[in-house]
Amino acid sequence: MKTKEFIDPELFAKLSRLNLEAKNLMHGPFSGRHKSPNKGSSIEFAEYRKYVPGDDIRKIDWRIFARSDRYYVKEFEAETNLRCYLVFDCSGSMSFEGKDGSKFDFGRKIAASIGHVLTEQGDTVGLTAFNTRTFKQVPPRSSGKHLRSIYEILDVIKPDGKTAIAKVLHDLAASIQKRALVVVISDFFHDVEPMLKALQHLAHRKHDVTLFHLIDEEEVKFDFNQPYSFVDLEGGSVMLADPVSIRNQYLKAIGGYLKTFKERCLKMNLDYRLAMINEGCEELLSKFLLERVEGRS
Amino acid sequence: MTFLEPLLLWGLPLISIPVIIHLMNRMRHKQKKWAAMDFLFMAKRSSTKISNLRNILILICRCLVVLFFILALARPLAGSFLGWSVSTPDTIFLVLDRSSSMGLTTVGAEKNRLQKGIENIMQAAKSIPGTPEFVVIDSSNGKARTLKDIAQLEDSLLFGETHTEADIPEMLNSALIYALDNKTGNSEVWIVSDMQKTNWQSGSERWQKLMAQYSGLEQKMNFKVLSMSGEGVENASIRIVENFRKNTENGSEIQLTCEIRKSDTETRDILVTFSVNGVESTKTFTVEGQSLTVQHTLLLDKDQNENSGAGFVKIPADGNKNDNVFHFAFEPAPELKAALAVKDRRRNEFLQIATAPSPEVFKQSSIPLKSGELNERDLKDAALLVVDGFSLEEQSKVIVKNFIEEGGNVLYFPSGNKGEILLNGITLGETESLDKNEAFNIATRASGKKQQR
Repeated sequence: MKTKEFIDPELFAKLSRLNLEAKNLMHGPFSGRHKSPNKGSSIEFAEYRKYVPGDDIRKIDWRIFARSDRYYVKEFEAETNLRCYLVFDCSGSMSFEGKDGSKFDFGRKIAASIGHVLTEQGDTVGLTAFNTRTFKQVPPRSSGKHLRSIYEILDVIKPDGKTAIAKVLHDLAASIQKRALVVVISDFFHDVEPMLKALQHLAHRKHDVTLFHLIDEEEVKFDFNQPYSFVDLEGGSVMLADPVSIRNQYLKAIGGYLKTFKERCLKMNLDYRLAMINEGCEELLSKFLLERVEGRS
Repeated sequence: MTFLEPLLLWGLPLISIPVIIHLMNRMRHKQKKWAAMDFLFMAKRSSTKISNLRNILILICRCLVVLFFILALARPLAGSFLGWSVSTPDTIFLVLDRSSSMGLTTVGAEKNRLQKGIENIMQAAKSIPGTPEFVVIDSSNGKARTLKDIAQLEDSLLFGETHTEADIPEMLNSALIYALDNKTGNSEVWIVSDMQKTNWQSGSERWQKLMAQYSGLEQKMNFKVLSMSGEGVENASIRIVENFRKNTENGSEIQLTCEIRKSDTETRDILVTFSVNGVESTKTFTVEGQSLTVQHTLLLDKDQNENSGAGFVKIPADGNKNDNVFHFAFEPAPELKAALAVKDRRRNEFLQIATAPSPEVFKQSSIPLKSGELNERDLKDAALLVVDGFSLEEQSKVIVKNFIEEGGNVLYFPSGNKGEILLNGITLGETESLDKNEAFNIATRASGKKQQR
């Protein structure tokens, strides 16, 4: 079988020592390692509740009855599995290639790695690839076979066309019925307000939303010293510019956008991760997983 | 505005070079696929006006640099404010360096430095509005004289190069004196020179004095220097440093000490022609470096009775024709006559032999004087006076002094005591003695144009 570029066994091995914990309570069909809003049969005590007819009498706490002469039922936290939706931007802008590789390859690596970690820990993972529309969607499942099919899709898709991230996220928010982890991998080069509304829609549905914002060093430094003909990756339009003369304005514009977008995401309690291509995948994902574990404890 | 090198103004279209480079750079841009186009558009929208203005200003500056460079190469003769202001000076002093080096033809030019300088001056003079008075000071005599017509400068006899050096400070001093005496009003000094160090005498203290005097003038005095120091073509020169005639058994001979100099440092052979009374001979000398001093003997045939005559040494024509020939003249070898005022008879005989060892061959003679009282007749035609054993009287001392000043040599064996005045300014000192194998060192002291030993 041909080895896919975005599958990095060494990285997988390092990440497999960590788990991906949900930040929010999850609704899952199966028992798992993540907290659920429902009460269940785990060993973690949740609360006492007055006995009502129909409750299982085995759950009555007889010690409380002895002290208070009243029936109380002891409830425990339910633990469920996690459903993760990997939302992967396949618009033309993701084909941007700096000296450390393309955003698209970097994004595929993130998606594949998270998929691997989740499958390893028994959670389900699905994939939504989009540009102007959702053109590949795989529902979350937890089998290794399913993960391989996700890898196959990641392998064949190509970045092209404009992005309709806001619409896709709205559709996704409407379609996911139960709480889930939504990991959006994109460069988010789109109008900020519609995009934030869509993210807010997801957050409102109590989904655990994580954003991997892919940015290349060249895009934030803009360190060119000769005129370039800049070709738009999403539309093909061409702009001749002297980077030296517009550098300050460009840096001001992109800096303002990055700052605003991050602040608004954090305000909505979204897990925002700036993924600089030159900094590599391993550190980014390790930090992401570790902070998730620490957040739970 | 007048330019000394107007042909270089044809280079003015080069001003467009920065514009062409700018356009070529814009056309030569690389292509870059870019994702964050929205921010580029935003940046360009906000920076277009400022950026365009800055680009235009930079372009204008670059063009101006090229323009000024070309104008500087064309060597403008600017007036009070870059030559556009109409301010005609009342008097223009033309300080002409007519030294020998001004005869050098520069590379690629048909005219020599002086001719080219005069041509430039005449062009400049024609472009000046009004009728300023032209006062020329040339290096041949350093005196100021008025020119009736500027066209007089074209007279090569009056204003051609000379075989002399120029004394620029002295010439400027002449201009200053003329300006003070004639109250020349608003004046300009145009100096035409090839900037030879020896002519300008930059280390001379006269410059400070001149500067102080010029700055103290009531009238305005502007200076313009037309430097003709462009690279000259290959040039060599020859001159006779010393010539000496002496009689020989077969007649006489002239010993010439010649110095050959050249501008380049490459070793090359130079053919030198020697001519004496129309008889020419040649010899080739290899000159390594920039100069060579050679000795050459010319024989004068006894049978042809060449008592006097003239000759020259010559090298082939080159960049400067003025330093290729050096003339000399010779007279019959004079009889060397010695006058002996010697008291002791034995010493007199000895000194007679010493001063004229071979009277027949070398035309030498010695005349013994009878006493220490000298008179001018005794010393007439004498080249040497020997005094031994006599104390000179005051009158004799005056005669000896005159004899020395006229070029005579005196050998004085004084007798007397320490501190006694022998001659004017010469006092008898301590008696000195030497060992057998040592010799006295007789110093030579300059006194005006003559020397006394």
